[in-house]
Amino acid sequence: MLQAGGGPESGEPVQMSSNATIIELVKKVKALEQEQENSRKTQAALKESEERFRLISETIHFGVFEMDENGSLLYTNTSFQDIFGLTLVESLVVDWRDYLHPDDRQLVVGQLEQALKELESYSTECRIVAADKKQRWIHLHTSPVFSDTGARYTGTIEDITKRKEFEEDLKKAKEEAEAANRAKSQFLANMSHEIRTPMNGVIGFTDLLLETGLDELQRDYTETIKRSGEALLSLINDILDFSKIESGELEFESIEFDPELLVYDVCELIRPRIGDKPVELLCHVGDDVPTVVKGDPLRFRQVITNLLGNAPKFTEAGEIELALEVEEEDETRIMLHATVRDTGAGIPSDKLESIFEPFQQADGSTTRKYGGTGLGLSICRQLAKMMGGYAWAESTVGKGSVFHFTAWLEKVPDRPHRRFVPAELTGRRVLVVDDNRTSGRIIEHMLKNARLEVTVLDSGQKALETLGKAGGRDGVYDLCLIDLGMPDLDGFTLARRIRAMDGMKGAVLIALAASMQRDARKSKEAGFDGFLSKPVRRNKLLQMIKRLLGRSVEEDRSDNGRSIHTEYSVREQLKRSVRILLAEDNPVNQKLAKIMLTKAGYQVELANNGVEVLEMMRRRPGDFDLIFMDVQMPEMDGMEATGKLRSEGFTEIPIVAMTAHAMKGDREKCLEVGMNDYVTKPIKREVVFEMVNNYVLSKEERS
Amino acid sequence: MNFKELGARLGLEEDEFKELVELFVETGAADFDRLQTAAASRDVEQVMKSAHTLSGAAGNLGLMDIHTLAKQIENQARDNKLDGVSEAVQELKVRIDQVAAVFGG
Repeated sequence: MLQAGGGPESGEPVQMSSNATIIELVKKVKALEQEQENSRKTQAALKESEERFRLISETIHFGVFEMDENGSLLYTNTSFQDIFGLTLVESLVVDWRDYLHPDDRQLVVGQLEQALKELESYSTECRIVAADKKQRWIHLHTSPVFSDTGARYTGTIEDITKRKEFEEDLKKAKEEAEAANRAKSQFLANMSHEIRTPMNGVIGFTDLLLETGLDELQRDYTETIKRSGEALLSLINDILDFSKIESGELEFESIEFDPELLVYDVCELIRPRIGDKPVELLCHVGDDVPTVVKGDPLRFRQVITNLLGNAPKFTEAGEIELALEVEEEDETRIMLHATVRDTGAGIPSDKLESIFEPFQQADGSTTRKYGGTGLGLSICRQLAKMMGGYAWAESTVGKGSVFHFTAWLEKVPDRPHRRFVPAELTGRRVLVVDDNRTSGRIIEHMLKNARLEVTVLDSGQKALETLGKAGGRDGVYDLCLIDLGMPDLDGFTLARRIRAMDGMKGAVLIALAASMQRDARKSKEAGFDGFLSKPVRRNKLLQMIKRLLGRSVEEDRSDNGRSIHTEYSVREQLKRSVRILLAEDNPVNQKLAKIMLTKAGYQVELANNGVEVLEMMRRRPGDFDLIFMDVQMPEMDGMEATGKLRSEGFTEIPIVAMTAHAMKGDREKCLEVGMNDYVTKPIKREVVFEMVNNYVLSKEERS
Repeated sequence: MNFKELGARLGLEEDEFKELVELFVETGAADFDRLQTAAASRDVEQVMKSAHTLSGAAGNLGLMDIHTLAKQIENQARDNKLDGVSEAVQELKVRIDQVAAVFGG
C-alpha cells in the first residue's frame, strides 16, 4: 500500500507526473533555445542590416543626414561631412546652417523653418561656404519621418557645383551669343539703312536724268544704272528681311488694300523683265475675290512680286500666268491663293523643297547666271507662314512650274467711296523737311516740275521755326513732307508738334519713310495724312498730293478713324471711285452686269438705251468716267448714241462697245464711230478692269 | 440644276443667281410670246430679234441648252429658213418651263 501509497520511486501516478514534467521542461528548453536562436538571428540580421546601411551610407555619393525638429543634426554620413568640410563630431555639434552662403542663408533658413513647422518636405538648390572656405552649390532635400517620440527629418544633399558651373557657362555663352546676334541684326539694319540712303540718291537722280532729253545711248546707260541700283536695293531688302525674320523682329501691319489692283500692279512691274522673249504674261483674278481686305499689303505684295519675278528668269518661251483665287473663308477671314504658273525649264522633284531653304537654288550655277541672294523663296515661305498660309511649288521638268502662295486676310465690310476731284497743284506751297540733302533735292525737283512752290529744310527744328515765324496763318503752307528718320527731331515728334500749332490743324502732312520703316499706323497716330516709302516715285507723290489737297471738309470728317493714305490706297480709292454708265436693254443682262461691276468695286448706273445715255450725259456731264454701251439696243443703238455724244462735244469720256457675238469688222465699225474699245458679252471682271485701268486709272496717273 | 454651281461660275452668290434666273423667266415669257407670234406669222425679222434676246440672256446666265436652241432659231431666221422652226419654238418653251418649274411655277 505504502509502496503504492506514495514513494517517489513507486506508484504509477507519480511516475506519470514526473514524465510529463520532463517533457514540459524539454519543450521549454527547446523553446528557449529557439528564442535564443531567433534572437541571435535577429541580432545578426540587424547587424547585417546596420552593416549594409553603414556601407551604403558611407560610400554613397550623396550626403545623408538625420535631424530633429529644430534642425539640429542627429546623424551625418561621410559624404555629408566631406561636402561641408567637417568631421563627424563637428558635423553633429555645429549648426550646419551657419555654413550656408550669406546671400542664400536667410531665404533657405526661413523656408526650412516653414517646412519643419508644417511637416512638409523641402527641396532647394543653394550655395554653402564649407569649413575649408570652398564655395559649393548643393541640392538639399529633406522629408519628415513620424514616430512616437516626435518628428524627425531625414534628407540628402548633393554637391551640384559642377553642374551649376556648367549651367552658368551655358547661360553666359547663350547671353553672349544673343548679344552678338542682336549686334549683328543692329549692324545689318544700320548698314542697310546707310546703304539705302545713297542708293535712293542714285536711283532718284537717275530718274531725273532720264527726263533730260538723253540720246539713245545715254538713255540705255542710264537705264542700266537705274536697273542695277534697283537690283542692289532689293538685295539689301532681302538680306534685311531675312535677318529680321531670323531674329523674330518682323512686324505685320493691318491695313485695307485691294488685292485685285495689287496683282495687276505686280504684273505691270514684272512685265518689263520679260524683255523681247516670246513669253506672254497673263493675269487672272477670280470673280469672287473681294475688292478690299485687311492685312499687310506690302508683305502680300512682296511674296507675289518675288514669285512672279522669278518666272521670267527661267521661262524662255510660252506663258507666265499669275492667278488669284479664294481658297476658303469663314465669318471674318478669307484665305487667298495666288499661283504663278510658267512654261519654263521646270524643277526636279528632289529640289522642290530645298529651293525654299535659305541660300539654296535649284542649281548652283543659278546664282551665277541669274544672281539673287537665294533668300527670296525662303523669305516668301516665312512671310506666308506668318500670314497663316504657306508657299510651295509643283513642277514637271521640261513643262514648267507652278508656285503657290496662300495667306489669311481679314474681311472688310464694303462701303461706297466718295468721288474726289484731283486738286490743282500750281502755286500750292509745300514745306519739305529731310535731313538728307540729296533726298530733299530730288523731291524739290519733282515738285517744282509740277509747278508747286517748294521750301526745303534739313531739320525739324528749322521747320518749327519757319512755321512759327509764318505765324501759323492758314494756307502759308498747304502741305508738309516730312522724313521720319531725322536725327535731331524725328518725323513723328515733328508731326505732333505741327499738329499742335495754331492754324496747322488743317494742313496736309505726308510721312516719308525709309523703305523698311513701315510705320503707317504710328504715322497716323502722330497726325500724318499720308505715308510714302522711299525712294519716292514722282507719279505716286503727285497723285497722293492731288488726292489729299483735293479732299473736302465733309470727307475729312467722315474719314475719321480711317487708315492713313498710302501710295496703294490712293490708287485703290481711285479705282473705287470710278463711275461707270452701263447702257444695256435686256433686264437680265443689265442686272448681271450691275451685280458684277458693283462686286468688283465700281459705282454703276444703268441706261436702257442710247436715248437715255444722251439724256444722262447732257444732264450730268462729268459724272461718269467710262461708258459701257451695248451695240444692239432699241430706240437708239450704241453706234448712233456714240456718234451723237462725240458730235455734242463729249469727246473725252471713254466708250467701250459690248456685243453678243464678235463679227468681222465690228471692231473697226465701233472705232469708226468714236468708240475707244470693244468687248464681247458676257463681260468679265478682268476685261472690265483692263478697260478701267487703260482708260481711267492710267490716264489719271499720267496727268 | 445646280444654281449654286452655275452662280459660282459667274462669281455670284446662290441667291443673287436665283434672282437673275427669276428675272429671266419673267422677262423671257414676254420675249417668248413675241417669238411664238412672229414664228406663226413668219415674221423673220421679229423671230430673229426675239430669239437673239433670249439666247443672249440665257447664255449670260449659263443656261446653255436654252441659249443653243434660241441661237439655232435665230440663225434659221437669219438664213430665212423658217421650216420646222415651230418645233424648235415648242422645244424652247419646254426648256424655259423647266427652269420656271424649279421656282415653283
